[in-house]
Amino acid sequence: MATVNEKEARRLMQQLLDGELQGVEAAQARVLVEAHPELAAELNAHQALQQALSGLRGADPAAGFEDRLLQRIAAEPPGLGERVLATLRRMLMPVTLATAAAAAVMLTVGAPNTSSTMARDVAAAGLLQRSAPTPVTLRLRASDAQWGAIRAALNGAGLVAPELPARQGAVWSAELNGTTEQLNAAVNALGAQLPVEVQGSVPTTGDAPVRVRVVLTGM
Amino acid sequence: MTTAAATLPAVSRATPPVDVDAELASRAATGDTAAFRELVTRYRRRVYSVALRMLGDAQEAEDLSQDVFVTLFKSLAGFRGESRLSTWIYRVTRNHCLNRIKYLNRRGRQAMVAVGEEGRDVLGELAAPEPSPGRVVLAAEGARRLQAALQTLPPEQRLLVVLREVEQLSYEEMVEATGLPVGTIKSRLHRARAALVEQLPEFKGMDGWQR
Repeated sequence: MATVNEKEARRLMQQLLDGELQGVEAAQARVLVEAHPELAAELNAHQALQQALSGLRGADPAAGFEDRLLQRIAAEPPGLGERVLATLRRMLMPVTLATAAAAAVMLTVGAPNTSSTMARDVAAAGLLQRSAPTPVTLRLRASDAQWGAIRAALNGAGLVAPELPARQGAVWSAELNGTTEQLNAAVNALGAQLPVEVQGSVPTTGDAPVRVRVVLTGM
Repeated sequence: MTTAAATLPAVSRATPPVDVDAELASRAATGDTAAFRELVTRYRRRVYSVALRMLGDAQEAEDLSQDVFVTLFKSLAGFRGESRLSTWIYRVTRNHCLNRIKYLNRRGRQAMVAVGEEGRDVLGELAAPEPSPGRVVLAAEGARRLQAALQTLPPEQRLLVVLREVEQLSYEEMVEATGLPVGTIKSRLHRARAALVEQLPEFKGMDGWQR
């Protein structure tokens, strides 16, 4: 069998790690690299690392990300709301140019702050589709090591949980957005596995929005 | 609410594919909030994932992701389509991440992810192609250890690892997103991987996977 020196084998190893070789080429290169035990071990370690890193893909922000973002944009100073205002203008402009001009004069002369107020109103009416969520805290007697199972239960109930909880000192927690119905399902699912304490006034309407803070209090 | 996707023209086999990103960006730039919302939905996961891996903290990652999209909202009118929207968003994310890390470092904030207990099994589980549901907790611990090791890399190297190995970008996309030559990207990636293997000796002796 043909062999290559270590320098060439290292070059092939880098190409394998870079994904530059495929199929038969990759298989042949691998054989040549494996003739050098140290390089073979290095290749295996790096490929295992690559596989593990690819497993970190796909973290999701907490549910309601778009709503929070749009709420923030709407709350920014008027300059940021200009595009929203432009949309409003287009919606309100099936009128004659003269009427539009008159309206513009009124806006400019009669009420200098109207445009920014309107932008905020439009943002509130058009962008924010939900009322403010009710804050609820779920205190779980569990450690962060149990997060995988807890997350699975939360996700199963429809509350999208982050891959990892956030840590503040000794406390691990996560903020989720959802509805009362999803919260109830989560409490039922979690309650079957571990002690759960619900703090806060849970709305009675099933589709009422809730902001759930999950706190792990430790074992 | 009607989503932007619902109003896009249907694509048949006979017609060329519509560049949905370009279409949404164009509409969002003219003030179409539904289009902007759709763009956010399409990219929030990628932006947040990069931010989370770069910063190691879910709340910081959420804040930074929002900053990225606010920047996008302000800048869409200036997007000329010379690069793909996706790589442009990655570039904006990169800039925000590096700036935030500098800011946090100035305030003495270090890696925020706890390093778990030593053990090959947790990383082995993470490296397995399909972790079994019953071992999710082990995988979570492995992810935490891997994240902690990532935090020790210099930010530019960490970014390259995240874009290539986590987000699976091609080298062409990485060049667009970082502005670095491909040779520089590859050499930095090699150094970063070697440093990670040194940090996580459990990987030594593991069987590799064909990519």
